[in-house]
Amino acid sequence: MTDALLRAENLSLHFPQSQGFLKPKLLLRAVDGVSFALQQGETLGLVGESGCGKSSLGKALLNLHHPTSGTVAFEGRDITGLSAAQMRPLRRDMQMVFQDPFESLNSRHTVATILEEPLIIHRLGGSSWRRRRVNELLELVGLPASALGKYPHEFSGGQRQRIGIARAIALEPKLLICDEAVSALDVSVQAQILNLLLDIQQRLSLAMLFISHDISVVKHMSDRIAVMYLGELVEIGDARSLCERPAHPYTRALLSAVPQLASPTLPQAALSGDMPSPMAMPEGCRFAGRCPHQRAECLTQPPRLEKRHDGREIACHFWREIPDDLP
Amino acid sequence: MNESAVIRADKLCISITDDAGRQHQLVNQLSLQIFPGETLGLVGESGCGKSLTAMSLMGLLPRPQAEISGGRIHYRGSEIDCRDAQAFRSLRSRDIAVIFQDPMTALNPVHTIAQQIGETLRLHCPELSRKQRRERCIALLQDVGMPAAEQRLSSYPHQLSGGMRQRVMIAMALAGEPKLLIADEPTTALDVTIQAQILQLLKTLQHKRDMAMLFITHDLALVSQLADRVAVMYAGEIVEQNRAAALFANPKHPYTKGLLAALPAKAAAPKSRLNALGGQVPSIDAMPPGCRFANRCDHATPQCQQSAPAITPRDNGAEIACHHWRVIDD
Repeated sequence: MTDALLRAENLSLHFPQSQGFLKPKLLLRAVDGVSFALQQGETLGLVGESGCGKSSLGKALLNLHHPTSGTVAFEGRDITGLSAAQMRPLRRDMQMVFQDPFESLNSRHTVATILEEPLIIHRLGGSSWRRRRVNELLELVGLPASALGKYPHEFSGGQRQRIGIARAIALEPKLLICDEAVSALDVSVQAQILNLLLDIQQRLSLAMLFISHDISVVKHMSDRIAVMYLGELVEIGDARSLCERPAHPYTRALLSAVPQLASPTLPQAALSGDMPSPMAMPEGCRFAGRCPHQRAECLTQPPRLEKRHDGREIACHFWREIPDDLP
Repeated sequence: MNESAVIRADKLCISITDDAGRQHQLVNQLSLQIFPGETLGLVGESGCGKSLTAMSLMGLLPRPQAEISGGRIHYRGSEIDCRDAQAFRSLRSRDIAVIFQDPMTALNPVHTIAQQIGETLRLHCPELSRKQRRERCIALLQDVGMPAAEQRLSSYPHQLSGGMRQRVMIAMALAGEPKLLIADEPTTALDVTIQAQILQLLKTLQHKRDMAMLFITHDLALVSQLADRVAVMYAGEIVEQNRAAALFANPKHPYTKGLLAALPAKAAAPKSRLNALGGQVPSIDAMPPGCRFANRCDHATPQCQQSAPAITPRDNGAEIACHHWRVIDD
C-alpha cells in the first residue's frame, strides 16, 4: 500500500493553551490520532461540525502547522516536520484553496501579480512564458483577460474564489486541499465553482481533500467521505453508501439533522447538548455524552476505527448492534 | 381576509443614498402579508434585499442612508406612518420581535443574561417587581430549553456556546409576547445538529403562542421544511410566491427553477456537472428597465428587456412575476 498519494498515520496536532502565569498549560487536542490515505485523482470529503478539527487537519497535512506526533507521507516520502525551505519544492504539488478569498489574496496586488507569483517563486519559465501561463489560467477558471490589471476588491465573491483557484492550480499540483471553498458563496455561484473544481480535477487528475460542513456539497463532490468529531475520525467510507446508510451514531445524527429539500417534516434534533470542549476530552468515546446508544463501556474505553467487510471504517463499540432504521 | 393579517406590506420600496448622494432603489414594489401562526419564508441570494425588507418592517433601516421611499405597511389592519419612528418603537416594544444571525454581536458582552432579558422585561412589563422579573427570566430560559436556567442567569454571553446564545436571543425576543417574530438567518452560524434543535424550538414556541413568523434564509432545503408559504426574492423584488410544498414541487419562475436546479441535491449523479445559473445579478446602479432577471434568463424576449413584469396571482395560488411563465411551464 505504498501507492497512496497522501497518507496520514496516527496524525495529531495539539496546541498548548496558557491558563495564566504559573498555572499548568492545558492541551487543546485539535487533531488526535487521525489515519487515512488519499489516492491520486480521488476526492476525500471531510465533514464535521465547527471546532472538530477539520481545518487544523488540512493545515497539518501541508505542514502549515507542524504535527505534534504521527506522520504524513506524500508519494511515499515522509514529509512530517520538514522546514519551510525543505517544503518549498513540495508545495508545487500540494496547494490549498481557502474559504474567504478576500483574506487569502493580497489586496495590494493585481490579479496578474497574484497569479504570476507562484511561478516566479518556483523559478518557472521566462517572463513571456509566465505571461502566457497567467492568461491560460484565467481562461481555465473562466475569467476575462481584462481581469489581469484589476485588484481583488473589484471582483465579486465567486470571481475572487476563481482567482484563488487559479493561483492554487498555477503550478499544476497533484493535491488540492479545499477548506470550505464554497461555503461563503450563494447557491448559483456555488454551483459554478463546484463545476469549475470538477472540470479542473478531471483535466489535471488532481486528488482533493474537500473540507466542508455542508454535507450535500461534500456528498456531491467526493468519492469517499470521512466524518470527524472532536479531533478524531469516527467513520470513513464510500461517499454514497455512507450518506445512505451511516453506521456511526454521530454520522447518523449529523445526516438526520440536515434539512432535506421538500421533505414534509423538520429535521430531527437527534442530538441534545453541545460538543464537549477539546481541552477537557472525555476519557472513553468522545461522542458518548451525546450518544443515544451509550453504554457503560463507552465511558471508559475509547473505540478504535474498525474495518467492516465493505471497507467502511467505524469507530464505535456497538455499531453492529444499532438497527439501521434508528437515527 | 386582509384585515386578519398580522402584517401586510403593500408595494414597499426602499432606497439607499450612496456616498455621492445618488439614490438607488434597492427594494422595488414588494408586497407580502403574514397571518397569525403562519411562517413566511423569504429566500434569495445575498444582496437581494431580504434583510433590508425585514428591517423596514420594524422601522430599523439605517437612517439616513436607507429609507422607505414608497408603499404602505399595515399592522393588524391599521396603517403605520413609515416616517414615524415613535410608532415603530412602540410596535417593536410589544408586537414585533427579531432574532439575528449572530447572537454574539446582538447580545451585550458586558451584561449578564439576567440583565439583558431583565431589561427587555422592564420595558415590556414595567409593573413587575424585581423578584417577579427574575422568576420570569427563569421561566423564559426554561421555555427555550436552557439547561440549568437559574445558574445561567449570572453568565455572560461569552461563557455560552453559539446554540445557547441563540436560545438567549429567542428568550429575549419572546419576553414581550410578540405577535410577529422576524428571524433573520437565525441558524446560519450554527452547526446542523444545533440548527435542528433551534428550529424545533422555534416551531414549538410559534405553535404555543400562535405567533406569525417571517423567516429569512438563503437555505432552500431549510425553508422548504419550515415555512408554510415561501417568497423568492431576486434583485430587490419578489419574483415568485406560493405555498411551500407547491413552490418546491413545481417552481414556475425561471429564477426559482434555476436556483433549485443548481442545488447539489438535484444533481444527476455524484461528481456530475451542476446546472449552474450563468451570469450575475445586475448591479444596483445599473438596474435594467425591464425584468431584472432577463440578462440571465434563457427565455428572455425583447418584451422582457423593455417592460418589467408585475407580480400577479396566477393559477393555484402561485404569484409569479414573469411575462412568459405559462410558456416556460409547458
